[in-house]
Amino acid sequence: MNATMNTGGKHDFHPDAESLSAFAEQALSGRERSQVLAHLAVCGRCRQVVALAQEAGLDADVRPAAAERPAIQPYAWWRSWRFAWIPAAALAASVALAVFVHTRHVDQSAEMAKNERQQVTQPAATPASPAQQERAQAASPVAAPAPAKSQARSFKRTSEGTAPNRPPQESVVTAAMPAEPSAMGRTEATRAEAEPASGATGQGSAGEGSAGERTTATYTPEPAVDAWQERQEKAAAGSEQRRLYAARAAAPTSARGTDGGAAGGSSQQVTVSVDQVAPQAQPAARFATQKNPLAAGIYAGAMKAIHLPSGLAAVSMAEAGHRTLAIDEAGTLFLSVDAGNHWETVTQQWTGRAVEVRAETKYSASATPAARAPANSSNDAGAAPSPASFFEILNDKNQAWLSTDGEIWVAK
Amino acid sequence: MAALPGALDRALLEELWRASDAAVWGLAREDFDRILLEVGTGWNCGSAEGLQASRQQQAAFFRGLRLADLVLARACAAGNERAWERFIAVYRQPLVRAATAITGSETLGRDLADQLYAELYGLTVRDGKRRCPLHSYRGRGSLMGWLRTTLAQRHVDHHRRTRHEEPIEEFDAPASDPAPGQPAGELSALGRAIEEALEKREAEDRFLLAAYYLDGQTLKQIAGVLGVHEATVSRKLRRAIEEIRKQVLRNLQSSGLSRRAAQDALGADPRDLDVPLKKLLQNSQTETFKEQAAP
Repeated sequence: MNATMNTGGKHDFHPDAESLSAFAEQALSGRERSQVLAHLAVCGRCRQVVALAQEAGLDADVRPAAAERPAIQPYAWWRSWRFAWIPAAALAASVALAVFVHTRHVDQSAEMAKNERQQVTQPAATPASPAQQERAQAASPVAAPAPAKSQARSFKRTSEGTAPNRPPQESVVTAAMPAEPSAMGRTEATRAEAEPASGATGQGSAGEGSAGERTTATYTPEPAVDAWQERQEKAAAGSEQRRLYAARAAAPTSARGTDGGAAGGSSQQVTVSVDQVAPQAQPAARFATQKNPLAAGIYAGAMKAIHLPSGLAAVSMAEAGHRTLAIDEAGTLFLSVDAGNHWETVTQQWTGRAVEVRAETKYSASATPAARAPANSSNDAGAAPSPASFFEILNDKNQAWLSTDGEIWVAK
Repeated sequence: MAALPGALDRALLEELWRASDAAVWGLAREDFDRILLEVGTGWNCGSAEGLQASRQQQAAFFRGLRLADLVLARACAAGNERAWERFIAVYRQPLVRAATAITGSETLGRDLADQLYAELYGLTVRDGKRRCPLHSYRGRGSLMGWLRTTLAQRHVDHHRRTRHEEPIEEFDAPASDPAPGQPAGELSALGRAIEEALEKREAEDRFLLAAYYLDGQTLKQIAGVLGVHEATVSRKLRRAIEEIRKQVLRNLQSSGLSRRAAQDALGADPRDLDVPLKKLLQNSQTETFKEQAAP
């Protein structure tokens, strides 16, 4: 270890510059390092030297890039912002795109609502088939889309002063469809025309526009678009099932839709076996045009959604008033009085294994269970306002038991 | 150590010669061997004074040298023009930047760098001989680190030589009246206990305490010097303080105070104490440098 003489320092002898430098660079052996450290512990001058050299090293590492720059740069104020333009421009473009998409979506929604109202007031004003559409377009002052244009993939809008043409099933489909992604650039009406069930060959027209402006859109449906529509319809069917089931749980008659809408207070009998659930679920996606599979699908989904205390799947379910009964795969009967949120096991008062439960309603004051009428067939609007509901279960030997509250059962 | 070159493995010397590119700067092989002898003797190959380094230790020591920097510095000291061109190209600007950072002023920094540069170039003549500080560089650390440390040394020494006594702006007056219940004997015992506790601390702890509390360096600065993380410095500082406190308590108890009295004594107003902490931390010159400075 070397020491150099410094006359101005408090201590006469200090480690030389190389020892201090090597100490800071961790280049000394353990013994040498401890010697320098022992000196640094008592020498403020050397601590200061080491600290300054260390800081100068850090600064020198940071400064070179800045030091190489010329002192004066023309347009330096602008160049300093040149990289800020990139994110600023990207941000502005994003905002503009978002505003455009939002505005377009709002316009489409407003037009859809307007078209809905027109469809309700003039349901028969539009042709249903391509031939009818052609006739209507020929008779209409609106220019019919040319066949060449109909092959185009994208929209072509033309200003139009008349009401848009719609297929007859549009109102049903539109009501069932969820909101369409605005990026697709299509309205509910155009999508309804693309449905194979409509019989269209790929050509159609629909109203579209904003703030009173109406346009005609021509397009050719594509397999990919149809597949997307299929998925959207299935999703809509699923959400519709959930919505209807929830509404049905709150008010059991609402699930009957148009068939049972007039029979206020009547209950519905639904019996779906496990084997029937799977095949009926797929047709339920087509509920827009198939009503019976819809009901089956709804209740199949409802039973799947039931979580019975036994952990088994429900094979039969019925409800009347605010009471719901369900039979699981083991034949155990469960009762719920809160729309399926909580279930209680009903003590078995029958023989054999329960396989089916039904709910029926009688609309006469003196009605007896024996004189019951099936709920599905009692849709007359003149039914008695105070129906009497009762349940019936069947065992595996086709023997029946009756109950008015689902808890106490008597043999039929 | 005079027999060092002969003791060195010829293969090692050949390896070092090839690795150093000394021939590029006009150094002869004999000069290179002589430089290695000088360096090895000066550092004793990293071994303790009076001990003979083994061949393995010698090999490790020489392989750890900054040979490229070493031969460049020696070539510059010998007046090799190409070496100076290389030195200027590599170190001139960093030297100015380091001096600017050390002085905190571009003007002062440039002056400091120019002064050192003139010395390095050998404009200083003493006893009829051209003196170049680069002769003292022996390749233990980097040449740039050596240059920075040399600049810092000159700046600190210049500052200490030329600084004027300035009035103390904030005079920390001692407490006027010692707290009741703190007799003078107890305070003096506390002072002695603190002195003993500080003297017993290891060098690293004293360095940490001095750098942090006396020099006002930050944890980051201290960590950079020691080559450890800031958290390590913080943890060591906290531990050192706790141990000093415990040691002071033990010293007080060993001087006859009860534990309760010792704890009460620690609560004394520091301004009542006559403990020259700065003196304690700064005034104990290490034996190593005393011995080496003796001749």
